[in-house]
Amino acid sequence: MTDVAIREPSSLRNKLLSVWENRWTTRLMPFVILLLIAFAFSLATGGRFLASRNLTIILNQALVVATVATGGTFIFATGNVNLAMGATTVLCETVSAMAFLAILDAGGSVELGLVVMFVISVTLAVFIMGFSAILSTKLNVRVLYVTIVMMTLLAAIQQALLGGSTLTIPSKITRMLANNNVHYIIFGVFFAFAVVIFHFTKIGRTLRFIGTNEICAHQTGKFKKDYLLLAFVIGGLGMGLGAMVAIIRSGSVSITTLSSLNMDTMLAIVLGGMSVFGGSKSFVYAGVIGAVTVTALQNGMVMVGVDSNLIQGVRGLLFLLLVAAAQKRPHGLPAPEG
Amino acid sequence: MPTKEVLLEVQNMYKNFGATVALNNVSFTLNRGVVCGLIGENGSGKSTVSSIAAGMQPPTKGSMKFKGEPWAPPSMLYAEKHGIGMIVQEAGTIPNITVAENIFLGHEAMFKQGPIINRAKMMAATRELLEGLGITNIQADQPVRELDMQQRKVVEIAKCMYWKPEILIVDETSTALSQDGREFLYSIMAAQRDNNRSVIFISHDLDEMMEQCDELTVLRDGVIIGTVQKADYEPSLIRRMMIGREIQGNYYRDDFDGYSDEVVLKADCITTMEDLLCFDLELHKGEILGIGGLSQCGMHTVGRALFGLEKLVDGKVTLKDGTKINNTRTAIKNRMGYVSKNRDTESLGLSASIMENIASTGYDINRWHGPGPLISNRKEKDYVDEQVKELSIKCASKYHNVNTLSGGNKQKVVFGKWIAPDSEILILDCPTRGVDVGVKAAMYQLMYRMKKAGKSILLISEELQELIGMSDRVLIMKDGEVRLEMMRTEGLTEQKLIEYMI
Amino acid sequence: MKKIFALLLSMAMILAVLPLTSLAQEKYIIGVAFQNVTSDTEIQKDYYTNELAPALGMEFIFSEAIKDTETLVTFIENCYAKGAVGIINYYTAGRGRGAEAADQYEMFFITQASKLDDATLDLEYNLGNCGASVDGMARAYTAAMESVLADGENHSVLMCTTAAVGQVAASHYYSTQAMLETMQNKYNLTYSKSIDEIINTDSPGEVDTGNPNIKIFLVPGTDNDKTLATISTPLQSGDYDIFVAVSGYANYTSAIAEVERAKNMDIKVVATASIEKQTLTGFTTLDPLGNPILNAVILNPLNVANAFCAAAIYNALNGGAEALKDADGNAAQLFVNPWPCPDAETYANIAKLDTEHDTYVINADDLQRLMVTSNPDANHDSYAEYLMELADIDAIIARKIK
Repeated sequence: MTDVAIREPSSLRNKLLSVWENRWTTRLMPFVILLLIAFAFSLATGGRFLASRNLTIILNQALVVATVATGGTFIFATGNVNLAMGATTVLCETVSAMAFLAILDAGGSVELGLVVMFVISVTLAVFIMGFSAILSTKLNVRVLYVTIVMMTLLAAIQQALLGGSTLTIPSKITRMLANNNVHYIIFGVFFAFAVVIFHFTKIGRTLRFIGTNEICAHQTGKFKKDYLLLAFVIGGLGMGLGAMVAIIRSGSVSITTLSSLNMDTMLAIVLGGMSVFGGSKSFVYAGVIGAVTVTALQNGMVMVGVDSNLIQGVRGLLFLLLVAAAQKRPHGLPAPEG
Repeated sequence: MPTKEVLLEVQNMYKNFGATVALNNVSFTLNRGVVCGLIGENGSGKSTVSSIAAGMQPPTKGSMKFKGEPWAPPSMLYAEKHGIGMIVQEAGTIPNITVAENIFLGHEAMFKQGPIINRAKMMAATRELLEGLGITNIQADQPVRELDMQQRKVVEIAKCMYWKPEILIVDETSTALSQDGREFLYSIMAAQRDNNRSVIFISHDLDEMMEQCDELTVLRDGVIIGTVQKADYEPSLIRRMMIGREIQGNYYRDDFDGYSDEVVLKADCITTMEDLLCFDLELHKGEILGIGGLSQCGMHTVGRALFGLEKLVDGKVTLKDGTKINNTRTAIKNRMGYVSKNRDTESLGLSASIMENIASTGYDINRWHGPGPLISNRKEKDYVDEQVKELSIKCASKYHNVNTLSGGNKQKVVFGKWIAPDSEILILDCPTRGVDVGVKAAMYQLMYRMKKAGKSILLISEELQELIGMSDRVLIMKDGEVRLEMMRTEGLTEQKLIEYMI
Repeated sequence: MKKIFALLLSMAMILAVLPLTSLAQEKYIIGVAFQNVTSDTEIQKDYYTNELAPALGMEFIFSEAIKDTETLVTFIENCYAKGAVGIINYYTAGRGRGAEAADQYEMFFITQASKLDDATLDLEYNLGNCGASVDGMARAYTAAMESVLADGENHSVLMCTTAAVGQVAASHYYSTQAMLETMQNKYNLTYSKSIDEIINTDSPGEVDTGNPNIKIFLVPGTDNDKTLATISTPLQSGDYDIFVAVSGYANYTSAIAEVERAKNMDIKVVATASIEKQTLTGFTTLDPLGNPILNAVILNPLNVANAFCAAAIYNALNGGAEALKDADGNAAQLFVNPWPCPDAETYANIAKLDTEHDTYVINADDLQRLMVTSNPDANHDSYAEYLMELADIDAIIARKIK
């Protein structure tokens, strides 16, 4: 009979593997990737990529997606995919801009118009998302399918409201808001709120647990229908606020505005290191990191002079590689009991 | 008379999963005409070494010889075709295709005529196989989803036997089978031996292993501890080889302490959609109430209904203060806990960490300040650390995912989840299924301690020995009704209970 | 292992797409923001790169298709990051916000549009517009409509008005107006709303003409795919035998041909077209009833506006910004006149233009007239004068096609 000596992993390979398997590696990988991208482009542009003005530009460009994606992580954490984020944001942008312009036309003050615009944008987004969640739970239909329907419906409403025209907020007002850093404040406050809720309260933990195993969550007293509604409400908040940031940034809305926002948001969340299946590997900052990574890539490619015909292709290929690097996949153990 | 020809030789085998060592320089031989049992605690490496032999995965280092030739099967299909077949522990059939399609999965080309697969031929071959094995209650063209768990396992066995394997590997299959199913499996194994072929049999049930196997090879922590021939079988010796130490005290309880008269949980004429019709039950303070029966007798539904998981068509479940339990939230709020028999799918978030799983019952307990919304990370950490320590959960870190743990340790995590919030009433449904001896013993001791602390436990189990060994009172169910109620006494045997079950 | 490999490969890719030489510091970097990317775009890019760039000492950065203002602003910002000093913008709806963004980064900005954005006229770096002449377009569409209505029969019109609503593209608005007025005059129609109200209706729909035998259906919207989907129903009804597009028609030819085949009818096509093979094919290919696909096109000179815009920025960079503005020092509008093209022969000649140095309507030699460094008198008025000369297509053909 042999007795078993305790076997310590002593080789360098095992040490490296331990680091690789550490939970912090998954969390920090997207940051590492972003830093590497920044380093590579900085090298390629003689340091201009990292000039403060350019970094500000990147942040501004990422802000809309970052705001919407931050709210989106609450929904994605439950293991659900929401395809109506873009349509909701744009519709809120449209309706709130219409309200603002109507108030100005009626002789109301700019302050009143702004307050009304803000309230309408947030309320409408929360309402739309809450409605979607209730539809999903009441009809027992997957969130994905409900949001596909909502996406189409919202786009049709926007088409009916806007047609071929473009709404423009007077540039003096958007400039004033931008100069007062309102867009940064909106994002900053929402992000801080999201971090606290997601990582320091029952809500965030429960949403992640539902994404990990819905049945197990139910057996620990956490009902999906209640928390899904909560996730959608917070997600809606992000969309309503994202609409405000978009207005400050571009000042106009037409039928083609932010047409790729949903895809950009999902890409940002995935690139930011969050699993597409949600669950415990969900981090609220994933959307922000991903959004910044996407815009940094775009910005960098223009700076280094990548042919515009190639940009799409290069971007797609890079995303594939970066997702492969950032996403954790199962190793494929057989029966764990063995 | 079995010859002593060496059929399989495993030489200096290592297998690593990342930094985890599953096999550590394992070498052994398997002779023809032998039923060899591989036994060991969870995490010992028995499934790993057999799955490597069956082509499921390659070793990190080491080699094998099969029938004297080097053996390195690239896939299970190859291994199946060339003489080593394995019946896996998990579900090995695909529900939405037929029995025939399952049996010939991956080998459809055998029935190809030009570009088309001749399904009639496949069906015929399947029928012939099933008849040859004496299986009469399964049709070749039946979709597998129509079969119950046991029948599906039988299909897997048939699938394996089609190729007349020289070595049949049975990995923890018997736990999923009832008595009939087990008898069938044993007959297959005996036939292998009689035909001068071999079997590698893996199970947790030591009694079963000692009965069925000609020799037992014990593994522990990825290393072979030794091989014991049938003539030298001795349970406590084998257990000691498996665990590396003596089990302290008795395996089950040896006391006859009673329990309080106070009823803490009551089922009042509850009727569910299926299984139960006006079912009554009372659970007392400090009582371990055992419920046993055949798998479909309704006992699992009782557990679910008491925890608020099952919709009640009529009747009610109440606590001592009259609170009605109609959903899990109310149950948990009133300090109830539930350990499901489907551990991996219902009791655990496999891709979440040990930390997250245990902490999942403590969100309201580990608040920063009073009823405030913020959770204190430190309190949560202490909440989890206590359970990891108390239950001796073997893990590299509480932040590792639960799916890296052995079955026994996973079950400890589930227990920890419910003990941490100081549950007063625990409903345990098959809590020691798929759990090895050492952990079982620890769980029994835990249950007893909880009973002494005044907690109440409803123990639902398909293992009669366990019920007899641990319960203050045993109820035997059949067809949704209690057919027998027996108190804990000396001389209570399985025989007395079985006739009321069947 | 795979992850590390993927990371390293990504980094290698990023470094691999760098240009091998950094750009020469004396070149002006100019961003070109295209609204749509079509086959035309490649021809224009060649012109920018091979003809304008060497003559003006510029390097051009081309955008992907700009679909909204946000994307335009992003492009402007990225160009600034690269060191660009000017933007030529094609996305008309974003010209106001784009001018502001460019002004913020001290980049000269000019848009290819027909209507100025009032709010940004006074921005220092806004040089204004150079776009299709609305009067010219109106005249051209009037002439084209009159030619297809000349047979005296009743006709119904399905029209894509693109960016006419709100005069986002003024030329689109006036082209639509020309069509409605021509129809009104021809058939004595009594519209229930004013022509301005009709054009500014956001959603697609039938116009109340007061005559049940004459139908008019307008489809606004700049998204080609959405428009294609919208015209499907009215087109397939077979009620409309004239199809008018104020911008390109290429997206719709298959749909039109299908209906012609199915309904055994001839649908006349009047559109703004580009100088490309497809237009020649449109003139020479016969539809199922033996008629040419295209009946009358209004050709916008492909590269004239490009030359003027690039030259305007060049002059601004060389101290001539004020000369390009109007008398009040505000951003000004320049108009490029379209070329009417009623038949294949005319088209064939026009198609030979803008293919190489000698045939470019404005080549490097012609550019000297626009550059303040070789022509100190170059200003807004001289630009406008030159543009009037370029309205005479016959003269251009005589000069360039020997």
